[in-house]
Amino acid sequence: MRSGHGLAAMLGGAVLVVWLGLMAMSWRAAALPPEASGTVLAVFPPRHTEAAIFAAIVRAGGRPVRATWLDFAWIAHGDEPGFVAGLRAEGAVAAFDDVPLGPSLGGCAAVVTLDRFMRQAGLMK
Amino acid sequence: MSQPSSIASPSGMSWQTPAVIIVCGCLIALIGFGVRSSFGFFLEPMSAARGWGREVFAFALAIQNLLWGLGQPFAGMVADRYGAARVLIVGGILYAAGVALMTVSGSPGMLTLTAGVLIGIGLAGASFTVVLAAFARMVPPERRSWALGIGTAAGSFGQFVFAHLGQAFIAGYGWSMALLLMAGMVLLIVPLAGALSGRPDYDSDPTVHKQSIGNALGEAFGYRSYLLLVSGFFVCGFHVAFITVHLPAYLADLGLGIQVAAWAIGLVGLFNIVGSYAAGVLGGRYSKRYMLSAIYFLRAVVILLFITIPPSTVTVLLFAAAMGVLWLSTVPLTSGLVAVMFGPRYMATLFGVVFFSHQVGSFLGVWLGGYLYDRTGSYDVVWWLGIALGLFAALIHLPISERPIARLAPAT
Repeated sequence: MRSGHGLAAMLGGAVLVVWLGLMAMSWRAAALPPEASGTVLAVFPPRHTEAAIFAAIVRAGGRPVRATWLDFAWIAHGDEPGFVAGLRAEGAVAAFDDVPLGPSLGGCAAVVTLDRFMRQAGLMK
Repeated sequence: MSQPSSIASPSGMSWQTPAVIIVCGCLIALIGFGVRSSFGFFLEPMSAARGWGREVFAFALAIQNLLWGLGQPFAGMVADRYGAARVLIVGGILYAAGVALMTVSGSPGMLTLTAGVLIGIGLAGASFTVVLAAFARMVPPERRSWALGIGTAAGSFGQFVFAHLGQAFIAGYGWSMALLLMAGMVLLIVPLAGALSGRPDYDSDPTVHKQSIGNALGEAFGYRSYLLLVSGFFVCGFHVAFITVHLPAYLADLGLGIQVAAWAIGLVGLFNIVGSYAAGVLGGRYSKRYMLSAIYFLRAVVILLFITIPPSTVTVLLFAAAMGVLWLSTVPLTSGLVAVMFGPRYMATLFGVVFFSHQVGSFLGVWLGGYLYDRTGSYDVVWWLGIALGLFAALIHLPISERPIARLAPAT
């Protein structure tokens, strides 16, 4: 049975590695370019406090709109071109447009509808 | 994993070792079960792009689930007759075609055809049900329960993988390209199915009882233990579907933060992987019917505690973790019992019928949840119904005979 557990662990690990790679590629593609402006989802490193994120957004020339259910991801708005560049200069990892973020749980017959959930999270209009 | 001496690869191919069979089967289960779990994220962008109301997408997915359930026994029959690989290949192609064609579905009718009909039928052919039946045939009996557990856990893992990947693809490439990428991944089922090719020549084996599919079905439906198993799996479908669809809304009604709902759903998914695998391992050592009875009883207890104790973040997360362990852990045990009762000869057919019962329960869980909420203003009635059904399932699993049916019993 030990060899069975080993096979399971190796298979799970291999899938995770491939998954992480695909996730990294996709989220990199989703990031807004530096010259972008408007309402964005600004993602900071998790170690940043809410106060620090708030201040960073202001220094970047924008205004904080609201926090999300992820403590280190805030909705922010900046009118000037280059707002995203400013956010990155103030420590943001990346900024994104409206993204369908949310957990999911697909049971055998479930139709997962997350719109109410995502609106409450401030991630959808 | 050493090559067991008691079984040769069905097609005679030396590369078709148990490890290869398990890895490829698990990847098929992961992809097949996982891709569909991301469809909910396409609802909003697709509906917005096409100018549809949400009911269009929801209807298509409801048709998908219905056809998956209805098609499963038939897919199982074909797999038992012609081999799992062929069914997986055809199912994979239909599934991939349906996903790809969703990108050009410009009308509600077209979406129902692609996302509903094509994918629903494709799922019946390419789902973990066919994979588990193949495992039951191709893996030695002493490894069977473990194999069923790892196959189920792989499907559970696929939900986690593709739910996040679907979101990331949509964010990075837009919903249309995301669907095409998903379709490409589903097509991987075709080459992977090769590892499950071949089937034992039952017709030429003098030790195998000769039986048509019709006879097998008649025998099963006349066997009390099988009917009890079918009834119990209905309850499983009811529980998982109701909680899946309605838990976030229930938590929102309680005034708990969105972050709590997010963590809860994530925990169910992660603990599900652990629970499924553990059930497979333990099912090889202990009584499957007693384990199933305990799982359903514990579900009833967990739900009772959840709705009676004052809600808080802690209770929600504990509920999620407990339900996660008890989530799809029923699958390897239930499928294992089908194999014990009737042998692997018509496993795909008979477990396909059991799965259909699960889908009927799922449909009722989703629909009744919304219907009774609208009628009563709360989910309380449905939660109590879930508790009652859990206790019912716990009871009916107890008298299940965990032995081969008389014709399969070894002569004494």
